[in-house]
Amino acid sequence: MLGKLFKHEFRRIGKMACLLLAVFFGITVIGAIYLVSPLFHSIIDASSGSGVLLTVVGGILALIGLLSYTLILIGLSFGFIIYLGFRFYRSMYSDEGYLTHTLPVKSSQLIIVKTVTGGTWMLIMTLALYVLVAFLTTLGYAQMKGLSFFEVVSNFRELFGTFVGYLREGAGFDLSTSGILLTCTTLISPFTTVAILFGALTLGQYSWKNKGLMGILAYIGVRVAMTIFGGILGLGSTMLRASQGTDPEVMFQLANDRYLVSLLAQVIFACILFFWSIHVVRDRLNME
Amino acid sequence: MNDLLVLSNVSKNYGYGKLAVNNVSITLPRGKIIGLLGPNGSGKTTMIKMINGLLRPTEGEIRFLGEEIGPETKARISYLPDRTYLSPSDTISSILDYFEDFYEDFSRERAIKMLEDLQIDPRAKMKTLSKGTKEKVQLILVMSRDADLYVLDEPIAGVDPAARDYILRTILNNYHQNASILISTHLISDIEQVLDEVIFMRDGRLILYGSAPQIREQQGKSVDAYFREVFAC
Repeated sequence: MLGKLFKHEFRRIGKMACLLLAVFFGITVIGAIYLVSPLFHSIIDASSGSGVLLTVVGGILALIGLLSYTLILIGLSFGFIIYLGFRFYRSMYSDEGYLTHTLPVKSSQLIIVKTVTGGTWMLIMTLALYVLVAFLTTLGYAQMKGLSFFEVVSNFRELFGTFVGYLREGAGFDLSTSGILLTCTTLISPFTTVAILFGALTLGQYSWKNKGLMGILAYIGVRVAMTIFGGILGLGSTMLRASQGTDPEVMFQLANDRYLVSLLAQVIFACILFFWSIHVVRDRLNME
Repeated sequence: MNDLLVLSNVSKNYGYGKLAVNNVSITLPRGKIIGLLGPNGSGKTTMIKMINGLLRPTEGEIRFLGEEIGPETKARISYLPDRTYLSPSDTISSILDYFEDFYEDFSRERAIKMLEDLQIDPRAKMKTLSKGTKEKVQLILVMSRDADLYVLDEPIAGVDPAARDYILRTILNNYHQNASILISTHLISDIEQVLDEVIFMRDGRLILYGSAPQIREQQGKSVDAYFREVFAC
């Protein structure tokens, strides 16, 4: 039954996820067309030449383009999280819940499947975003330097090594810890985000009226509580680093510490809310 | 085992004072069509939801074929709620796939046959159907299972009289003799002829449980007339 639940849930969420991925892809293609267009080349040429007006206009256009691209991607990602919450609420606590909760499956399986499926699709979308943004950045760099895309890709390792070396030797930043943290966040965060969202919506079930609205308020409350908890958790490291001085290197380590603490707080809250959701659906379900 | 469903001292308190179901004890046997009757707010739907695991009793215990309500009992109880529980964006065909995947006792052939009888296109999306047709689709899904107990909450409330006849025929023709049907309704006169037993509920309490023919004989009137007398405002 678990496999069947996964199959249906993956398909259902997948429809929306694929649509959003198609939009991501579409706007990246538009961005790529812009980067290889004569307009972009004229901006590059003008910036190295004498066309001041064209440079300013082109710069503004490039900035608006980049800003729009980033905002659209962020907006769509948030849109997907909202969709996941809406879908979860409708299938668990609204009319469709009457079918969901009369399926011959364990209540815990419902929460596990919904969290894992939502998290997996979010992870897929995050990875797709990384790839698309990297593609566009690489293409932009190649166009500016007058290189081919594949030349930049083949030289990427060398360029990245130079960049990391510059940070380590020039500013004293060791990116290996940040890299590990970024990888962990990329892999874990989609699942914790979904678990926290679903848990908060489940918390809303404790209200007598406006359960959906209370779920949203619970989500905001949980996020605030998580920030405060993260702040308290990170207090020790802040004080320790502060005693070590205010060098950029120390500040960089402090940023890493804060990042780690925030991830830890997220994992702790996600675990609590995940098991709480299972408890509510199993032992305290009230489909009024 | 002839006892299908046993409710022992079951109560449900939603938390705002009044008990929606108040200390109900009842045993439903196999092979009967049982009417769950009572005015609005008498606790019928709450009791049905508890039987299907959608609500947890505040007190008491519900057992179906000796087991507590859970995945095993849900596999053997076919439930029709008093609302549309299917996603509007789904096609009927995809819903058939869903039921076929999750309910081992679901017969796709039977469902297709009933859809054909009613000239409902399985490729249609739920959101394109009228309210009455949606209700028919749900009833077809529920009655296409070989369950031990069918729990139907107001199955004929929202449909026209012609459709009511079809629904009643569908119910009668699609359950096996070992199974029971628990029907909650206000429209007693429409279903009285098919009822074997009746349960009267008022203010969350069970006030009568007996055989329909016996009530007619003892009271000298139809169950509908007796209901109107008992629940007169």
